[in-house]
Amino acid sequence: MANINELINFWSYGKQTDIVTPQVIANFWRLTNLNRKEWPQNPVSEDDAAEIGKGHEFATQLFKSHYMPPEYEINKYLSSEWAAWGFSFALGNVVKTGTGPYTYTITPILGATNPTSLELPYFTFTQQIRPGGSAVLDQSFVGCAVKSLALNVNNNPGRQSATLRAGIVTSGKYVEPSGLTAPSPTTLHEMGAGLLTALTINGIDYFTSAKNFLSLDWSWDNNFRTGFFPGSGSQDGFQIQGRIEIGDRAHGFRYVARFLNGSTELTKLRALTTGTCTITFTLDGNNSLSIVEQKMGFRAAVLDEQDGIVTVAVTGDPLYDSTNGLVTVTAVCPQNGICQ
Amino acid sequence: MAQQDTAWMKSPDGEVREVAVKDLPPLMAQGWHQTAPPAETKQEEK
Repeated sequence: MANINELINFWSYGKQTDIVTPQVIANFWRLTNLNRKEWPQNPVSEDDAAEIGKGHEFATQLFKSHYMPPEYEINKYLSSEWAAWGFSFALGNVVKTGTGPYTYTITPILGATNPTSLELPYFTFTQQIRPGGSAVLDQSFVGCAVKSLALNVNNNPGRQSATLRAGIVTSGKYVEPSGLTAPSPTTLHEMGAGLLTALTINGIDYFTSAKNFLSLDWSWDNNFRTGFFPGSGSQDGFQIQGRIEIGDRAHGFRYVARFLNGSTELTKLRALTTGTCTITFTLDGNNSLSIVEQKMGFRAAVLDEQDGIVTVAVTGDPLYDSTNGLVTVTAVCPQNGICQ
Repeated sequence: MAQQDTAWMKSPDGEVREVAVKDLPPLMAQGWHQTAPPAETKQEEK
């Protein structure tokens, strides 16, 4: 038997050339995961129970259908490197500059202009428990993509004050045993809520003047289309997906702040005021994260209370600006090659 | 530390030019993507 604490994950920070070609181990990193579960492979099979002619209603035979691993969560405390990776693979249009540290400027892909059309960058994910002759688990999933991304910032101290959670999916293609040796763990540069250096939402500066911010939930979902089609491929007789394409993507922005005399959230909601939104974490000159919503309006502002203090829960409405687009993320970190 | 704060970008129409990092967002919103520097630039670097 094996202890779940023996589970190790490592995945590529570099992108695959296509959905079926795994990345090379040189472009992998080994990171920890707050999700303590393995990623199930989930082979789907069918039977003949519904077919007439057997003389009864029971199934007599199983048939292989397809691999459909569920969405798997990589949940980590926010760090410059992890942010660069998560936003790069979730949004897809990445420009890398610098020679160390490296600046990653990231925007959402547009299907019409993206070199890979509706497909986001793919990566390879490996999970192992005691790899080798007596392996308990040793699989590489080829052709993985980030389906969802969620940034949470809250007002409780500690590492959990800022977390970035990625929901990933895969084509179903796998390599077992992986044939890979896990690299040494990568040291990340974490950035908690205390390292926020800018927090302005629709003209309201919550960092410098109005020190009333309580929590933020930034979310992204690529709403992938299913990638099974004639000729998409198979492994072990189970069909696998040949593409993972974005659907109608969803972007959410919610936050909670204290509500007091002079608060303008309700005023801006009633006036349909829009403005940019800037959220910046800065650890040092080599590690930072900046999220700029190019045109933010408010959809709802509901008064509530938290710990007995009057609050306002605002649902933002990220809009697409005709010049600057929807959102621009800039991540600076020492790690080269992210999504390259 | 000296930084390379520019990137070679390619427009949807095929135009290639060097762009400062600060000028990237509107271009990326229009579908520009990072590309390799032109061959003559690599020659100059040599």
